[in-house]
Amino acid sequence: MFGRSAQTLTPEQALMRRSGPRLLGLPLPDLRRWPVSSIIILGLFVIAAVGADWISPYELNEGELGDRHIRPMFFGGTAAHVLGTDYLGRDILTRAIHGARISLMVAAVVLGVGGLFGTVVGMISGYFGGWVDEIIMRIVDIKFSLPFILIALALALIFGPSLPLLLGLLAFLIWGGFARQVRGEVLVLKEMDYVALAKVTGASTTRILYKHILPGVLNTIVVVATIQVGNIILAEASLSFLGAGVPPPTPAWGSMVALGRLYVVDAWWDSLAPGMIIALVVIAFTLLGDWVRDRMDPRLRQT
Amino acid sequence: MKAFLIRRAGMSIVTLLAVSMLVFMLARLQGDPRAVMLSDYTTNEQYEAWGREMGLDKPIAIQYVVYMGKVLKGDLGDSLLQDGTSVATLLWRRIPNTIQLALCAFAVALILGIPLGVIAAITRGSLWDYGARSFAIFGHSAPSFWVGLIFIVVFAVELGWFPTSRKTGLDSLVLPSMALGWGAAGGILRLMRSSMLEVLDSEYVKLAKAKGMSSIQVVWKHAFRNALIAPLTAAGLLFAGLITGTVVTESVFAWPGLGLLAIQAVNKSDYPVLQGVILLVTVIYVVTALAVDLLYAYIDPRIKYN
Repeated sequence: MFGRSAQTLTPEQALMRRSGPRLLGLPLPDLRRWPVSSIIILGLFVIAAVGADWISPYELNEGELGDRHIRPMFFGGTAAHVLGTDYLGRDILTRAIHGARISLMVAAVVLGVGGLFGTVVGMISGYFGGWVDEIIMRIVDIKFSLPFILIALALALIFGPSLPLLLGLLAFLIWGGFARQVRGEVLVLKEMDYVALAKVTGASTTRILYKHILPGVLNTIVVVATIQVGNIILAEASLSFLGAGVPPPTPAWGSMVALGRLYVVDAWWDSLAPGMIIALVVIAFTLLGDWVRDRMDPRLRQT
Repeated sequence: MKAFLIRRAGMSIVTLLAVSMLVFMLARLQGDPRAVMLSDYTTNEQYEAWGREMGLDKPIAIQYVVYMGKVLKGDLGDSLLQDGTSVATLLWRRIPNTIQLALCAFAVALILGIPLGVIAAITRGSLWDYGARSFAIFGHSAPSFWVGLIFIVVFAVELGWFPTSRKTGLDSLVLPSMALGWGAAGGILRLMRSSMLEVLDSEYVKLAKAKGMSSIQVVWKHAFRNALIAPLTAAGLLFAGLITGTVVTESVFAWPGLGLLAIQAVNKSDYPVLQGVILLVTVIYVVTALAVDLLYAYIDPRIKYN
């Protein structure tokens, strides 16, 4: 209509027309548009988690008592222990790398279980409305007013801290956020004409939810998931710090901070390194979350 | 207003009932309470008699009602350790410390978050804005137990400005409040900044500028007061959240509040005490949230019609 065909470019043409720095004639990705620091940090995080057994400089949980509390490399130590050693002479870098594996595994499982449950509940709540919606949303409200850490402590006291318990607790922590956001989205989507048309043509409720509503909420799910990863890692670290998370000797970052805490005056690096890593990874996920939200869901954008 | 009030209060009661049921069920899951009294000489008859005495022969629903009756009268049982002191006494001793810490952290959050948020909004895109937002993201992302440890090492051990831990005087409140309040300050800062940006972009602010008002006057007289509504609305719930958030901070600073009591109870497997802390903290949270909601409904008539 408006000379559209003349303006439409093939993807190749569009790529070549972009301005900015080029390498071998091809434009480089515009760094200002990408959360580069997040991608680097999270890339290292994933590489460490997946390849922990190959890239860590020492064997896990093997320490030389003679090498206790060696200082980190740039603070009077040597390159043999870049982040120094802990109170049992174990290499902190090695333990931190293995800690990445636990954090990533916990985040993935919890997002899968909690995210899926929250999404399904949110879709049901938003689509059916009425008393179903009322009951589900009130349960979500109650969930948000529970003292999470204290209840986690109580369960750890009664059943003993374990990985399955931790995963269950964290999944419980995050499902409400998914349910609320997804419900809000479904409330809008279900009024759309194409959903009404699907109903008229006799599509079953399951089919409508799966084929017509779910694709519409995927963006929201991705945005909520990215933002929640940071929360999961922080909550896992807090519980591990309090002794209600990943049981020892598995090296979770939170429990590493807790162990180093006893020596914090003489060997600050024992606690500093794992805590710094938690902070960096969570910051990276927060920034990535902001970026994903701006890209995928302009309505949630903050000014 | 009346309907809103009833509905909102009803929700609070349901929440409290849910938590009390959870805590009661966990107590039963923990095992038979008679187990601690067993000895080699306990006869079956004695065992049965204890069961009747404790009401264990009755259906679980009746047991719960009896339990709730006791809780409502303030009888939370006795600590398994601590020389059998009643849980209520222990809680009563610790409450003021937790509230004190939460209030100070709240003050830190407002004192840092609001001015920094305003500055970030006015100087949008500048180094100031960048710095303020980094401060917010770091506070939100760094684990508070770790921040607390760093504070202890830097400000207490190296510089010697404040005591390292425990409650000694007013100066011992500074580090825990900062460690707990930083994350909350970040939240307030982000809200203040975005709400301020929105107001600065509004027509009446543009008009004020066009009239030739100085920018300081525009910011203070027109923008700031209106922009304050959003962060203050969130602040109430934030305060309620800080009360539950004290657990980790109290553990790091050995601050003698409810959180530390809970941690100590976990370490000594003292379930009655932990149960008491959970109930009390939930009550404080629910009551604060209720009060905040009612206050806002009173101040802003738009809320109660939603």
